[in-house]
Amino acid sequence: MYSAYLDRFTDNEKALLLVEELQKEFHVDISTIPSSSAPGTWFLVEIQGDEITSFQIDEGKTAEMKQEVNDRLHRLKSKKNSRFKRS
Amino acid sequence: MIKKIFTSLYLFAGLLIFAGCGQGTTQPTIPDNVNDDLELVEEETKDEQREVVEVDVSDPVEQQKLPFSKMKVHYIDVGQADATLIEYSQGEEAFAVLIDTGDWNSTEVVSYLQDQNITDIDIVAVTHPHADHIGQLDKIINTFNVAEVWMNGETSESQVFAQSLAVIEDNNVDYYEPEVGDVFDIGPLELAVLHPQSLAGDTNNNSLAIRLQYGDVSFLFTGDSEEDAESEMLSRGANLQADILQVGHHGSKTSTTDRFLNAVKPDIAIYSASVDNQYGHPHIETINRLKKSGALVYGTDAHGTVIVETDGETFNVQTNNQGTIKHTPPEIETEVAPTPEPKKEVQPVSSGTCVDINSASEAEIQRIIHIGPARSQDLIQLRPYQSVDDLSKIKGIGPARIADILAQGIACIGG
Repeated sequence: MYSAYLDRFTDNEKALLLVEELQKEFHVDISTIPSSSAPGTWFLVEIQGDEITSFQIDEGKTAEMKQEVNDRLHRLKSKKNSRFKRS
Repeated sequence: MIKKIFTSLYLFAGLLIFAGCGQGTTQPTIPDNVNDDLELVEEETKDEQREVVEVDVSDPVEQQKLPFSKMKVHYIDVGQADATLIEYSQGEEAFAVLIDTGDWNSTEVVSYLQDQNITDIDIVAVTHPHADHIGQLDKIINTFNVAEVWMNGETSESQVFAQSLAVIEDNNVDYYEPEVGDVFDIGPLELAVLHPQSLAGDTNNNSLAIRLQYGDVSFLFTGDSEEDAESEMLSRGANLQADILQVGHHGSKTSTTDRFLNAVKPDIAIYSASVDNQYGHPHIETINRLKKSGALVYGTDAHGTVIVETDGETFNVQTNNQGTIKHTPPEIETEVAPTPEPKKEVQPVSSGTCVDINSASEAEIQRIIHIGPARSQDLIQLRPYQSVDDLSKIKGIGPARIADILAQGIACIGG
């Protein structure tokens, strides 16, 4: 099982998944992923060769990553600054 | 106009200097003589020769007085992703700005910046958090001295996004979310933010849009903005005019509408896409719209890294490869590839037989001088012709080129 992230739907009607552990991208038909998934969803997937053969939404990881990102971005936004902005 | 043509062993195959086309929305169309030079470069790039064509349209004395140093804008060949490096200096101070950071599972941008001897980067602007735009941000911050990072404020839950935020925070890099109407001065470079007004769209349509003004020369970047974002920018009355356009969303047909192009009026359009990518980028519809607008189109799939160099008044385009942009999606291109014989299309002048401009194939008509791959489709679309002189209907074919075509003597009407 690998962790896979749904980064985006593409303009040729595919879903693009990133598998960090393999440093690989997978283009899959949107119809093959669980219908409740959206960009931002993490999955546990099985991979055979160049194909993902099963998807299972990883709600835990999705929530955990969302929390981590929101916390960090909140801290960064609170002190946002540009030294180049024309006043 | 001074024209110098010479053969060299330069890495770059084509080099062309334009007159800067001014600021604001009153940019004139490219005059015929400049178009002549465009075509000259197109023809040079078809040949398997390493020739450099340099056309200097400015007064050298005036050039010396210009306050702007050379700026280089590198549309880096990063496969199916985006990354553009802008580097210039003022006095002893060097500046570098990076717009987008390439793909997530690669280190190409880091290597390229190292090859260019970049050590400090003033701003890294990530247009939106998709992995093909934010891809190497963490590695870039870990490798170079980055002063500040810009984002559009949208989040992603990807590992690459989370890692990027962590590295920004851990390295105390300034973080900023520029807003529409903000203007920035990075030394002599003026940068205006044109989009997004809010994050109401989808991720592509929330892309940061940035317009650069360097002296008289302007550049536009819209990330993966599609028609919705383009419409919003148009309805806000943003100054979209740019001499050089980075084509939105890798040349997808979902971007680069005619209305948008009418406002941008680019002389040069550059898209970033990989060879035989999954999406068929650039789409033929986009290439046709760009051609119709009069822009000269370059793509990283065909030309490799494309560098625009400017002194704030004129600019030139240098390419790594002598590319020809495909005008059909890759899968179709592959199927038809065996039929035409491109090498023969470029045979010079003396082949003898008459080329009927009303019936000859796209390959045949490219035997006519000044008709390259970029113009042969226009020629076919504008059929029929009453005389060879009628070829002046084709954009960029002026009286000087008609004279060349007549002198070549192979273009004809009827059998």
